[in-house]
Amino acid sequence: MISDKLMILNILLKQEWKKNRRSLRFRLSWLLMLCVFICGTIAFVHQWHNTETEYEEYRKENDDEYHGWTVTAYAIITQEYLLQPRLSSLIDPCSEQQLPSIFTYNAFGIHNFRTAFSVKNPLMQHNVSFSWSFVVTTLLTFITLLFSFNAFSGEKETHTLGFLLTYPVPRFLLLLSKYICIVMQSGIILLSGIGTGILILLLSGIEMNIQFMILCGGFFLSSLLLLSLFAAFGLFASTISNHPRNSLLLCVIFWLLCVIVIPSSQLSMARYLFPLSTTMEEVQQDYQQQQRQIIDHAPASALGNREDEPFYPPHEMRADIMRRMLKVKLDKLNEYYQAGQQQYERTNQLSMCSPVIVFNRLNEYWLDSGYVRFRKNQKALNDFCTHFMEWFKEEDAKDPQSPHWLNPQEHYSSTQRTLTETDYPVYKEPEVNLTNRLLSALPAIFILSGIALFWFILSIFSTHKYDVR
Amino acid sequence: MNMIYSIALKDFKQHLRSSRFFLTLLLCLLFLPFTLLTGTDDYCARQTVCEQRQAMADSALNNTYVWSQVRPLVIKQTEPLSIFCQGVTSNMGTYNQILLNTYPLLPYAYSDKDCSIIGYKQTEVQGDTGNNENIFLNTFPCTDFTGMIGLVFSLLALIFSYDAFSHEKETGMLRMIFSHPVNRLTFLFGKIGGICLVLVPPVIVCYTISAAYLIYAGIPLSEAVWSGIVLLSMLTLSFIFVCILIGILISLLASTSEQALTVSFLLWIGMVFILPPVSGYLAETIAPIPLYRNIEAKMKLLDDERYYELKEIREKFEKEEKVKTMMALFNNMGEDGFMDKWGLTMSFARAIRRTHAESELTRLVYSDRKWILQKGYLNKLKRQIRLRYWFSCFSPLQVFQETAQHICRTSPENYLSYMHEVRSYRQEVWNYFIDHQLFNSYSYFTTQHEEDFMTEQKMDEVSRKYETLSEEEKTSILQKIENRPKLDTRELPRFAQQPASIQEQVKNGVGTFLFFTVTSLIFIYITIKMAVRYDIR
Repeated sequence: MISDKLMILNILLKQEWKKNRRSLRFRLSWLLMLCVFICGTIAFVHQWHNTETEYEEYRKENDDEYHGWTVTAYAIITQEYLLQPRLSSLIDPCSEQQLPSIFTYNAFGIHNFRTAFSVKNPLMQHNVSFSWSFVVTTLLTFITLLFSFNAFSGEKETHTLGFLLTYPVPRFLLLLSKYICIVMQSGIILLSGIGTGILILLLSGIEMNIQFMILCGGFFLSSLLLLSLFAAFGLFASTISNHPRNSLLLCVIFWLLCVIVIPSSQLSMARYLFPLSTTMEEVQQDYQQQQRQIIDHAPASALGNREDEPFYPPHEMRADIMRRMLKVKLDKLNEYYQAGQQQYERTNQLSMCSPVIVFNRLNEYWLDSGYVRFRKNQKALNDFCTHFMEWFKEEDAKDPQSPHWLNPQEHYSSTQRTLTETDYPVYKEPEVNLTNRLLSALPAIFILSGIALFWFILSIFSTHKYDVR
Repeated sequence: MNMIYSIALKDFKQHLRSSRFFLTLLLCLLFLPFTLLTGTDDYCARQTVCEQRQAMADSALNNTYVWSQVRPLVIKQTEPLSIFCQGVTSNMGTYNQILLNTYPLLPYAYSDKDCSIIGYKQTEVQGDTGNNENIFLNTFPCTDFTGMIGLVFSLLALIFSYDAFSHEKETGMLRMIFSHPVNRLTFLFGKIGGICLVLVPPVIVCYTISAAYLIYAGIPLSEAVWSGIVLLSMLTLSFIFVCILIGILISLLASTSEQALTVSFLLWIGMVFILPPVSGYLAETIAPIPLYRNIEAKMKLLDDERYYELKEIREKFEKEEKVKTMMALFNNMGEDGFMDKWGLTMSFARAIRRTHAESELTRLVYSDRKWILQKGYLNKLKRQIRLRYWFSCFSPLQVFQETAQHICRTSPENYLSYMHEVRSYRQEVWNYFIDHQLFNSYSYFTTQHEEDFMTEQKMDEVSRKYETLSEEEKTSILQKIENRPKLDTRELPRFAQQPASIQEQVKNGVGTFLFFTVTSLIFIYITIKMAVRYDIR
C-alpha cells in the first residue's frame, strides 16, 4: 500500500519536475539568482579585505596604547571595545551596522555603547544589504511564490486538473508532489547560489574554517524551511483560487505583508505600543540634577583637591562623591538602555507573525550576531567589569603608598604602580558553540515549521474540497 | 482620438471589474496611509526632540558665566517633507556643537557631553548618528511614503500591463481586432490610456489625502511644502508612466501571458530589490571608505601633540608672569578649554589670560589640521555617494527615490550642504571671539574684574582663613559664587538654517522629469515599432 503510494508520488514528482525545469520562470530565476549571488559575493570579498585591513589598523593602534600606564590610569580611563567584524556577515549581517558596536567601559562599569561609523557610509541608506539572507528573504521567497501561485489554479483554468483527477491519483499525493517539486526548485537555486558564493570566497583567498561551512549548511537548511513555508502558502492560494490571476494577487499580498509591511511597521509598533517613558535628554537632565544634589549636600571642603598631596584628607570624601556621582549616572543610563532593550525585544516578539522576522531571529542565534551578539557582549562585559574592579582593588591594596580611596576620575587617590605587560585584565568576546546556537534557534525553527505545516494542512483541506465539476 | 478614448474607456471599465483593481484599492487604502501615519509620527517625534534640544541649547547659552563655556549647540530643524521621503534622515542625528578643538563632521543623535562639576573629566565629546531616541530601533527597516508608492505603483503598473497584449494574443482577440479597420497605434495608445485611467486617480487621491492629513495633523505647511507635494505627485506620475510602458513592451514581446508575467516580475524584482543594493555595493567596492575610528586615532595623535604644545605655552607664561601660587578659591574645568575660576592672584590671572590668547588660537590651528583628515574622509563619502548615484540611473525606481529625497531635502547632498552651513557658522563664532578679543580677556575664564584679583600674600591669608571656616560658612561662599552674574551672549551670532525654496525644488526635479520624458519617448518609439511589426498570422 505504502509502496504503491510512493511509486505514484515518484511518478508525479518526475512529471512535475520535467514540466517545471523547462519553464521560463525557473530558468530565468536561476540565472538571475546566480548573477545576484556572484555579484554580491564578489562585492563582499572586496569589502571584506577593506574591513579586515581597517580593523587590523584599529587593533594595532589600541594594543600599544596601554604600555607604560599606571594601574589606576588603566582602571579609571574609559576604554573602548569594538566588536570584531565577522565573515558570516556575508550570510546575514543581522543589522549589526545599525546596532551599537563600540562599548566604552572602565573598572567601574560600562559607560555607554554606540554605533561605530565603521566602513559603511553613514550618508547611504543601508536598510537593504546584499547578503545571502537578503536574497533569500526578499528575492527567493518571491520567486517561490512565483513558482507555486498557479500550481493548481493554472491547471484549473486549462481543465487539466479535472482530467488528472479522473485517474486514481490521491489528491494528497498530487499536492505533495507539487510541493516537493517547488521546494526542490527553490532549493536548487539556493544551493547553486551558496555553492558559487563559497567557491568565490575560496578563489579570492579568504580563509574559511569548518565552522563557517557548518554555518553555511545551517543557513541553507533554515532558508529551505522559510522557502517551504512560502511554497505552502503559494499552494494554498492556488488551491482556493479558480483563476491564476486571483492566486497571484493573494501571493503578492502575502509577500508584501510578510516582507515589506510588517517589518516596516515595527518602528511604529515600538513607538505606539511600547513607548519609552523618557528621552535621553531627560535622562541626562535627571542624573545631572542628582549629581548636583550630591555636590550640594557634600561638605564644601570636599570640593578642594591637591594633586601633589595624595593623602590630603578631603580626597577621601571627594573620591566618595565622585563614585556616587558616577553610580547615579551609570544607573540612570542603564535603566534607560534596559527600557530601550525591552521596547526592542517586545516589538520583535510581537512582529513574529511575519515568517521573515522569525527567520532573521533564527539567523541571529545561529550566526551569533546582531542583537543576540550585542546582548552577549553586554552581559560578558558587565561580568568583566566586576572582575576588573576586583583586580583594581587587589592591585591597589598591594601598594602601601596608595591612600586606597579609589576615585573613578582622579588618579592620585589610588596606586601609582606601573602596569606590567602581562598581568592586566583584557576583555575578550566569548564564543558560543554550535550546539548552544542550535538550541537557542530551536524556538524559531519550531515557529517556522508550524506556520509551514499550517498552510500545507489548509492546502490539503482545500484540495480535497475541490469539485471537479 | 475618439477611438483611443473608446478603447481606453473600455479597458478602464474592464480593469475596474477585475481583482487587480481590488488589489490597487487595498494597497492604496491600507498600506499608503499607514506609511503616512508612520512618517508623521516620526516627524512629530523628531520635532519634539528638536524643540527639547533647542530649549536646552538656548538655556545653555543663557546660563554661562565665562566665554570659555560658550560652545553653541546647533540643532538641525526637521523637514516637514521628510514625512513623505526620509532619505538618509534615519542615519543622521540633529545635534552639533561648535567646538574649538574639532570641526563638526555630521549631525549626532545626542551628546554624551558631561559638563563636569568638579574636576577634569577625560571623556571626549561623543555622539551617535541615528535618528531614534532608542538606539536599538535603528535596526528596524523603515519604508516611507514615496518608497511605498514607488514599490506599490511600479508593481501595479506591471500587473495591469503585463497581459495587455499577451492575453489578447492568447485568446485570439488581437487577431480579430486587427482584422478590423483599427489602427494599431490607436489600439496601443488606447491600452496605455486605459491603464493610466486606472492608476492616475489613485496616485492623485493618495497625495490629496496625505496633504489633507497633514493639515489635520497640524503640520506647518509652507509654500515650499505645497510645491514639494505637487512636484512629488508629478514625479510619481511620470515614473508610473515609464513602468506602464515597460509592462506594455514586455507584453508585446512575450508570446504568452505566463512569459510576460515571469519577465515582468523578475524585472520588477531587479528594479526594486537588486539594483539599489548592487549600485550601493559597486560604489562601496570601487570607492571604499576607511574605519572612522582609525581617522579618530590619527586625530588623537594631533590632540596629544596639541596637549604638549599648550602645556609649553602655559609654562612659558607662568614663568614670565612669575606665578607662585596656582590656586583658585573656585575652580571648574571641562572639555574644549572650558575654565571657570574665581578667587585668583593677579599674576596667575594674567598668566592664564596670556596663555588663552595664544592657546585658543593654537587649538584652532590644530582643529584645521584635524579637519584635513576629516575632510579626506568626507570626500571619500561624497565620492561613494556620487558613484552610487550614477549607478542608480539604471533603475527608474532609484531615480525616482533620489529625486524625491532632493525635493524633500533629506538627501545626502542636503546633509552635506547643511554641515557646510554649520562649519561656516563655526567660523563666524570664532571670528566673533577673535574680533572682540575674547580669548585675550579675563571674562574668558573668570567673572572677576581685574581690580578684584588678589596679591599672593592676600591669597595665603584668605586660604588660611578659609580652612578655619565652618562648613556652613564655606557653603555660603560657594552659594555666592553660584549667584554670580551671567554672561550677556545676545551679541553672539546665532545659527540660522537656510530654508527650503521652491526654485531649489524645481531645479532638483527638472533633471529627473527630463530623464523620465526621454526614457518614455524611447519606450514609446520601441513599443510603436513592435506593435507595427506584429504579424497577425
